[in-house]
Amino acid sequence: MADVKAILATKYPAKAHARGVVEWMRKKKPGVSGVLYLEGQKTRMIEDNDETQLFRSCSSPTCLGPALLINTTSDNVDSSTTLPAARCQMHILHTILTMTSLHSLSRQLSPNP
Amino acid sequence: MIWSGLPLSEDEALALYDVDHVLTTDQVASQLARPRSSSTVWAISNQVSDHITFLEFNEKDFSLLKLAIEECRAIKDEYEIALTRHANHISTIAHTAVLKAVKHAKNERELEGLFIAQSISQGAREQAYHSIVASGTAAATLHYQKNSEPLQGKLNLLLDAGAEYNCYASDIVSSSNSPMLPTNRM
Repeated sequence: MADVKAILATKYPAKAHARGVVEWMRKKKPGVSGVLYLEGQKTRMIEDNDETQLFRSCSSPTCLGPALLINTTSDNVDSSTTLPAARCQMHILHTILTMTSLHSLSRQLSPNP
Repeated sequence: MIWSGLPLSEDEALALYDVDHVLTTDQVASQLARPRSSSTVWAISNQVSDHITFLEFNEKDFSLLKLAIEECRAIKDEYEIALTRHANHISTIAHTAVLKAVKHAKNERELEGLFIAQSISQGAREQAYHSIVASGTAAATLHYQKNSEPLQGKLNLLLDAGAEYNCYASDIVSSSNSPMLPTNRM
């Protein structure tokens, strides 16, 4: 389990996954360039109950649906996350990824740049 | 009084997630409207809120992105395999605890409770699916749902249970014609 612990001590590789999706799309449609917009879910209450329904795509208790916005205008990745603007229960967590150069990304992700 | 605790702060999200910037949701529209060299947007149909518009974009594609994600998520990377292994590690502890407890248990429900207790104690708050704890001939029911029958007089136990860790699942089935069951004990 030592390997597993070391791996899980790092961040979930969201950028690598986003890059993989863009690479797959470019195989189907060369030159894919623009914005990928992915939205999560708003809070849904259990009927006649003061608790929210379980949202299974993200473990953060405040994450009620991540939205992913990937800008592929260049080969760059620069990513952003947006959090609830209003500090209340009805909010959405947005994740915004903007692609910067794949080369500079690999340097960013490398533990020893 | 706070309803369910403080939401994640921008700094906390930045430390937690693999992202470069953290913004608030009221800035989504302005982010979408930012000038870009390409004017195409990809999204998933029926998964765009009413208040989100793609007016700034000349081209919109609502099919390729979903297909791309479905294809890409089929192949797990090292991190995802580690999450799955950890979920399986927790389930293994819970399965072992259940089989050790069989000789003292009187009803299937005690074993289901023990599996969940072990999962949560080990850090897996959610189950990947509802456990199937089927003793005797109930083991032949594919999706047995009772989990509440007595163990007295039963010769075997089927335990189909898996914990979920950070949204990654485990799925373990054991079937034992077990000397640990009360009937089979010497």
